[in-house]
Amino acid sequence: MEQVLGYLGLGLVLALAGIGSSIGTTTAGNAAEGALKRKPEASGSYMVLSALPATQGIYGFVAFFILLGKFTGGLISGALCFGVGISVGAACLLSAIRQGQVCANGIVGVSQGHNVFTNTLIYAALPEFYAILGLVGAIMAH
Amino acid sequence: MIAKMTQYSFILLHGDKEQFLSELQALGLVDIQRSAKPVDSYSQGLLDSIATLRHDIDCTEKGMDDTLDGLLAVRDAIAEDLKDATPWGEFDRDRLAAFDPHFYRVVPKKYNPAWEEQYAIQTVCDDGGYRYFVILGDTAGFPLKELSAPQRSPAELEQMLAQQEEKIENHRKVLEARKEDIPNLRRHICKLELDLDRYLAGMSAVPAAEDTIDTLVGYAPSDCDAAVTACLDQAGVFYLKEEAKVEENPPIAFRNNKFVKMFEVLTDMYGRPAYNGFDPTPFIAVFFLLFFAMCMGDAGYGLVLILVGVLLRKADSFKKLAPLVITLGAATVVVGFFLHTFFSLDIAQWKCFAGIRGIFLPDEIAGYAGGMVLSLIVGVVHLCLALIVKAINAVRLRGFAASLGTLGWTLLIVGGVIVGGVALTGVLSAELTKWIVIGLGVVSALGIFVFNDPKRNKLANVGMGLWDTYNTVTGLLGDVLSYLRLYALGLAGAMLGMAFNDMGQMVLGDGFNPVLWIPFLLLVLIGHTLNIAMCALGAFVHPLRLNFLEFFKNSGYEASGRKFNPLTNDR
Repeated sequence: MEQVLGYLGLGLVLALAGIGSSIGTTTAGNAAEGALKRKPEASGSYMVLSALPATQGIYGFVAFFILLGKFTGGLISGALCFGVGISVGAACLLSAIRQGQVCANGIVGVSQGHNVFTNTLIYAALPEFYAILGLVGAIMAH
Repeated sequence: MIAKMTQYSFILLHGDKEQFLSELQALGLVDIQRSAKPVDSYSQGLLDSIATLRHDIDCTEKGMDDTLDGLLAVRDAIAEDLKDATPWGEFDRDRLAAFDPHFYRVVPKKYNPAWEEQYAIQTVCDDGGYRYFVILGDTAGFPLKELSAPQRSPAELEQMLAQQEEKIENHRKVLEARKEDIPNLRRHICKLELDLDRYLAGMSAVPAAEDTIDTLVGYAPSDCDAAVTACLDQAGVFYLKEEAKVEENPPIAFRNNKFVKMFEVLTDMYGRPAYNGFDPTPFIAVFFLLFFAMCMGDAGYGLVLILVGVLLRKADSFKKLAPLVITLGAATVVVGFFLHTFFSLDIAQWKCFAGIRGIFLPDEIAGYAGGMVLSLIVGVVHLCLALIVKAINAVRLRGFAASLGTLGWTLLIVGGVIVGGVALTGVLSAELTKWIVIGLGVVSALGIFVFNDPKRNKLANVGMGLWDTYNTVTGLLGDVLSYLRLYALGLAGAMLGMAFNDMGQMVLGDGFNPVLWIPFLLLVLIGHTLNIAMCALGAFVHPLRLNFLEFFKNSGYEASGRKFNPLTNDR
């Protein structure tokens, strides 16, 4: 049972974080497609904003790697691995989805000619902080 | 660095404006703030002409345009009619019309001879799997659907077809001949674009004295003062010259060496700094290069990038990016070597490097993955640099007394990092380190909590200091951890490459069967190409984000400037 829980945790951290990033970047990317029709010259900022939700997937991947090492090395129990994995995965999932929505709104704002790029970067970084906290939790787990 | 600007104010007679703008355009050094889009019907007309010319060049190059499309459509219609009319052959339409003919065709199997008793049927021909026949007069109750009568005889249609083909051939020749004109058209487009630029600049002039004189304001870099004043004196125009001031928002031009210049395109993606801000391009040049190399993390991929850069030199549209790509590739080779990865193979195990194994990145540092620790160290260094830049700029702009808060934070964080780093190497004793840290802490706290705003009430200062502490602790922690992506991206790329290598190995087996080498090479080639593309995308976007977000935020960079865009003949 311990083993199963451990592997479930590993799978969930990777899957949920990846799903979150996929949805987040898609939301922002869809907005960027529409924005390109209106103001193609700002495509650089659209690219940067669309890539922001990709971070959570990376954090999930790093957490996966860390937990994999600790779990297969016998340093943490399966239950702990499951707990940490699902918490990091869920945090990254929702953080990425919401961050994608913020970025999408930012992209729309830039395409309409408002000077919102810098502020959007800051607002997008706010939900990301909680994914980072999740990652810190994964690093701290022992 | 940001070039110093000189502001020129011109006063011209209305009639002289066009001539003067042409001379400025020939000089190519003065930026007159102008709209990027058409502002009235004349400029819109110019833009439309340019678009039409471009469209014409396109059509001529492709050998196809709307007229030709129309001619081909008519030709096809005639060919259809000919196909329908051929079975009926030649007949006298007028004489037959008197008998009220109806035309039919049917598959021979379905032809019912009994019809011949009810209707005045005449089979015309059996051809192409159908029987074509005509019924004269009354067709009441006939089961089949009537065909539309052929309007023209086949001979007539063939003649029309031949004429149409001739027209098409002639038009094609015209299009071919037009190909010679394309360079001329392109030159004309250039001229129109220059005209448009000049016109928009002229539009920004402020008329005065009942439209008899115009006033223009332009900016040029101060190091070009001699050239500009020489041109203006020769033109005999009245002008005032003074140093540009921050409040006027002059355009921002950079003065950077060849290496840093390649990265200005990245700075422009975010925006140029304010006139009294700092030029971030040197920082981006160093750190974006480093981050990109760490994210690609493979010496072999670096070589491929250098190759791509060399090939880009030959392409017209991407020639400007070639030096940047080659530089990124070269950095990737170097960093990839230290990360002991070559096309996802671990070269630390190779015998030829046995002697220098020490310089490779260790697999583990202090219990954590080597790459992870390296990324965090790089992140800490980058952020400390950002804080130092912020402190220097704060002192430069607001003076020492007003920036004690910023200085306090910088001292605490950067000082703490340096002391911590030094202490880790064991140079300082634990006791000494403790006292230094306490000293740093006390001095910084004075700056952060007590003197951060000399004009404000001290208690309010403490409150602001606490708020700043909360923001900094949460913000900086997040920012440092953000640099973990450098490790993650490099790892992901290496893992994917390794997977392709393993797959290839599985296909190849022991390598003795020569046939198996083909799928092996295909697999490895396609796999690594895919991997390079994906890694390059990630290695471009994420380091960019680290520079734009983490560095710019912590260094207090504001992108409020506009690009220096002189009126020039170079396009």
